[in-house]
Amino acid sequence: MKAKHRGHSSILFLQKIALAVCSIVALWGCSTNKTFSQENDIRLSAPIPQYSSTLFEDSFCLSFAPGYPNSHIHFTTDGNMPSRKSAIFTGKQCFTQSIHLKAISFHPHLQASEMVEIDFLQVKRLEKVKAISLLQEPSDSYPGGGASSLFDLQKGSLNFREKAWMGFDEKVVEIQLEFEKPQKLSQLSLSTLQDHGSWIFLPEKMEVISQDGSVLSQWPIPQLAEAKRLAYLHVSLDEIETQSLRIRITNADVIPDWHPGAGHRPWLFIDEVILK
Amino acid sequence: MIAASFGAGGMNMLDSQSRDLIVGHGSHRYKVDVHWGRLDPGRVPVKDCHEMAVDSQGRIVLLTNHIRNNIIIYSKKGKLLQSWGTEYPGAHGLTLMNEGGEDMLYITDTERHEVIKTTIDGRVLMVLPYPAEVDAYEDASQYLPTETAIAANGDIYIADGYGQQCILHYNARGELLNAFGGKGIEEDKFENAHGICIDTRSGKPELLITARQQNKLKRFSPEGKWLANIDLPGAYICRPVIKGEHVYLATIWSGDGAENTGFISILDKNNRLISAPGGNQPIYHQGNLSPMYQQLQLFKHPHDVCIDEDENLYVAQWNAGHLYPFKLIRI
Repeated sequence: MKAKHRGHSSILFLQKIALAVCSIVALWGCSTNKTFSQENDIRLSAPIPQYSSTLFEDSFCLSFAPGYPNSHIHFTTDGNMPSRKSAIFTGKQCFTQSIHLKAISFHPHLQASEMVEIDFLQVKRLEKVKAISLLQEPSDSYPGGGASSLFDLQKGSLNFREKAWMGFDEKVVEIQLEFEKPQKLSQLSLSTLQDHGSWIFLPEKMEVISQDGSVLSQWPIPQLAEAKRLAYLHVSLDEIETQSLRIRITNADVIPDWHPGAGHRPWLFIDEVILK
Repeated sequence: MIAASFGAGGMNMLDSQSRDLIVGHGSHRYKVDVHWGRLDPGRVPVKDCHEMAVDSQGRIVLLTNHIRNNIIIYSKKGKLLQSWGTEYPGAHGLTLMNEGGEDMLYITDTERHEVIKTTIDGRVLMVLPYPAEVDAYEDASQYLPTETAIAANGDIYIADGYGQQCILHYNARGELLNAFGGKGIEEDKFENAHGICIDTRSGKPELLITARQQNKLKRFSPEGKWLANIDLPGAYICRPVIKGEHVYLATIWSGDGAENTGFISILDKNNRLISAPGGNQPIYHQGNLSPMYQQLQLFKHPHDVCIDEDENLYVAQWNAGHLYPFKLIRI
């Protein structure tokens, strides 16, 4: 009983000491003082890829800006979500085939970053285009490089302010193509930008109209905010043969209800058209 | 096709040990108190928190464009002391100057197209309208002043950062003395002359003016002669704030200018970037700063920073979901 009492006193004494020490330490910032943001409250920023263009003819090389100390960039090219077990990206790596890159930064104490997701596409430069015209003009604020820039293999980055991007606040945007002679085509891809924070959405549908008829593809309206990304929208053309082509891109009527810009027309940003 | 692409935040994957976050580099590192300025948004709301200043009593004065209380005055501990102001819908720039022992506020308003001088309690002393006598201006709508700087003799410099990019120089009575700058890529012109301050660190006064879209600080003589540029690639700097030998700059965007990529920039007496809380480690190669970018999602859009006597920082943010200011405690 006596020993127990003495032990209890010792514990109380130690607790008082600990409290006093912690109070003193807290003046400078005790390590357990949650007044301050904790490392595991904070997310790493997304890794910053460095490359010349996401469209290439023979090969391309990729690196990343140096990350936060003790962080690692894990990546995949097979479509799977990167995890801490995925390959670590180091230095500069070069590729000779199209890849679908996904990359996330991880750190032992900080939250993992958002994922960076980029398609690098191998393409052949199309030299048989006779005329390209836009039936609707882009916004004065985002004029891009004009209709011909849709076939220059120069991709915009995630920054919609870059000159590679043409921005439209129209319901329908149409591109008219004329070839020197009939072309066999199996796929058309439109290079676009998704940046919900800047009111930029992917289009609702795209119709490709040729002398062989028309093909329509549609995409769902997002139900939640999605990460900023470059996107290619593909339309399969089933080996059509045509000398002219009209691409009719239809924007959503309004931004969905979950977004702060609900009710307004979204922006459509495009920078390249790729034909196979 | 349109796949969500947020990464695996994965708290369960993290080391379970909780540690204080420390941001910044070298001599200027900080712990972060995101709760510091938090108030009841039902009683004292904010919209954009645009600028902050420390008054002669050590109180922290915040300017917001919320017209229920454009000015919010905090203690250093983050306690609400006072609020006022319902007539500044475009409240943007705040400069505090002690004149004859009394604190004065200079508020730029981009919706009123005016600069207003008030007492610390909000009594209006002077209103400077758009400079109609300057050729660059046809009407008031072209004048969107973002910042002021007050010289020791009371002269007022105004940066028209969202308008015609002119720097307007008035005397203390509000008489226009000079106008220079303007929009352009030449050395003596600006792409977004967002902020301005008086720099007396060299012993003689100079103007430090931001060219935000160009990621540059530009040095000018008080008479409006361009002197030199300070390149900060990747840093979209709002206004320079000088404390001691250092220049502090809220950096609203970084890298390629994407949204929510802000951090804080701190320059030494030689105007070299030495610390970037929330950003990457500044590195110079042959005298040139490597491009800056955000590394931690701590800040969204820092718009101003003020520094107290203990060299702690207070950070006001634009377009940050009505966030109240953060405090960064220097360690």
